[in-house]
Parts: sequence; C-alpha cells; structure tokens
Amino acid sequence: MTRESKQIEEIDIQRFQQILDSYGSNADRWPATEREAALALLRTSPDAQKLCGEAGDLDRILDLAESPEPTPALATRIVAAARQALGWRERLTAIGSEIWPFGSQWQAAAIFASAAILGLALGAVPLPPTAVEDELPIIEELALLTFGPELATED
Amino acid sequence: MSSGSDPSLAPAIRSGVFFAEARRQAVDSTEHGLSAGNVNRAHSDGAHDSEDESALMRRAGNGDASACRILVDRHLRSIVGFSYRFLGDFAEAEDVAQETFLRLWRHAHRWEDLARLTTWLHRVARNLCIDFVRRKRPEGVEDIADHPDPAEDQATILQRGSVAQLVVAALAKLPERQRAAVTLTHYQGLNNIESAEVMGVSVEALESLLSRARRGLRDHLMPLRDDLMGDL
Repeated sequence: MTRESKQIEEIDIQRFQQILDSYGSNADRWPATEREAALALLRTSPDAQKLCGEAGDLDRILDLAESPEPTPALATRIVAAARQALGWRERLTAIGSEIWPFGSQWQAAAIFASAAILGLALGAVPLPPTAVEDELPIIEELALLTFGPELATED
Repeated sequence: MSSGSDPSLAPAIRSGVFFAEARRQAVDSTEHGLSAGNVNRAHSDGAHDSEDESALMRRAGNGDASACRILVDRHLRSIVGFSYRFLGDFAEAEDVAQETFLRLWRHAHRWEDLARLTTWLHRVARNLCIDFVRRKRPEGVEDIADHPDPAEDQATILQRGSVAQLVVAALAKLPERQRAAVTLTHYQGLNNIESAEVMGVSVEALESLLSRARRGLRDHLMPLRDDLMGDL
C-alpha cells in the first residue's frame, strides 16, 4: 500500500487545537496515529496554520532552555562505578568456576541445595523407638533378678 | 519524518514554526557548559536499535566496561538534561544522573526487554528527582510551584543575562507532574506513549497535563517574548 493510497482518518480543527495545546507546533512531537491527518489539515486550513503559528511562538521560547552538557568527570565516575558494581559478578563467577569446574554453577548450586534440604528433612523426622529404649536399665534388671519384683521396686 | 521539507507547509514555516531548531543552534551559552538544544538529539537517542541496546545491556550485566561506556555516552546527556530541567540545579542534576546509572548497573544482570532503556532511565530519574526534592524541601514537590523564590523573579534572572535560566525558572514554577510531562515530550524526545509510561498515566491524562503545563508556561513567558527573543 503506497502512502498516497493509504486511508488517512480526518481530524477536525478542534482536535488539531488540542494537539497543538498539548504537543506544540512541531509535528515530530504529535501523536504518531494522528500525525498524517493533522498535517493534511495543516496543508489545507488557514485556521490550522494560524493556530500552529501561535503554538510555535511558545515553542521557540521553550527551545531557549538548552540542554546542559554533563561534566567529563561525571561520565568517568559513572563508568568507574559500573566496574565496581558489576565487577563482583565477574569475581563471583570466577570463584564459582574454581570450586565447580564441571559445568553450570547452577547445577552445583542445585546439588548443594538438594543436599541441604535432605539433611534438614532427615533431622526433622523423629526416629522410630528402638528396642534398647524398651529395655530396663541394667541395675534395675539385676535387682529384679536378685530380689524379686517386690523388693526391687521398693524405695 | 521531516515536516519542514513539505512545500505546502510554507505558511507555517514562514511564521517560524519550524525554525526552532535553527534558532536554537545559534544559541551559544557558556554558562554551566550549556550547549545547543537537544530535541533532535533526543529523537536520535530514541532511534537506537532496541536489539542493539539489549545486547549492550547483556554485556554490561556481565561486567563489560566498554558496553557501560557506550550506554553512558548515549544516555547521560539526556538524563542530566531531564534532571536539570526538573530540579533547576546543575549539580543536583548530575547527582541524580549518577544515581540513575548506578541503579542501571545494579539492574543490568537481570535486564529484560520490557521497556526501552531510555524510558526506564527517565522513569528512574524522575522518581529520584521527586525523592531529591522531598528530602530537600519536606513540604513536598507540588508546593514548590506555589511558592517560587521571590528573589528569583523574572526581571532578576533577565538581568543576570540568561534567557535559558528564565525558561528553566518558568518550568520550575509548574507543578511536578506538569513539569515532568512537558520536559519528557518537548525536550527529551519521548513520544506520547513513552512519556505516559514514564509518568504512569494514560495518554489522555498526559495530554491534559501537557495542555495545562503549556498554558502555565505561556502565561509566564509570553509577556516576556520580546525581551527573550530580542536577546538572540
């Protein structure tokens, strides 16, 4: 589809005024979806041209506020900060490679994490009672055998 | 697109509508190292290929200093400009820009292409500017606009000889959201959708903010038009 044959949705002078009120006279700043229609109206409407000229008066004044040039030291500081902020990742990766030279460090981390979880799980589950716990202490057992049940429990 | 090249737009061109850039190029202010305006430059910032920026961010996230340097070269001027127009103070603007990039470096290793880098940077810078002003003046950013420094009236600034400062002072008198909206669209080269995204508002709400901002600026600046333009 060529530009000429493309259907341009028309806008009225009221919407054109709203566009100028919000975005000013420079078509580069107008909404992309309405730019063609607004320019088409500007080509044919003396009212639109007058309004655009008035909006341009303010734009020219606003354009007097130039953009400040950052000091060279600022850029240097920011790049140095990047080395500091991002360098630890490089160092961490290097240390990780020494500890786990077998492939992905995520794999190593996953194995360590699995081992830790397994250890915690085992520690949390109570062990079943053993036969030893059911047995009487040896002294009590000897007393029972020696003196019989009545004397052995007498305190 | 180049609207100025269309011969049917001659009346608007004659009225000076599209001469803003040429006139801006003529400005040569040395104060604060100011240089010619950045509208078209900001537009060219926006033209950086997003795939290219994604690759740069990946490299930066892996600690590649040269990628960081390219990103700084591309975006630092724009972020300093935005912060300067927001805060009205060059040293503070540089502080905000530095902190914005520090946050970018911290975020770089988990960068996702959900937003254009320039939009992300402006959003962070705007939030930092708001925090900066709130810390400095606890009454809040909106109140500043209602209480401009009487010592910095328009005549005083004009006498100091910098029309740029007068425009920045007029911007400073706007409520924060209006100031941010007009700065993003007029100076930073962001389109309406990107500006609305930075502001966290709908495009309709952005247009309302812009319309009120430009009305306020017109009220402040148009009475001084002859003085301002006469300086050039």
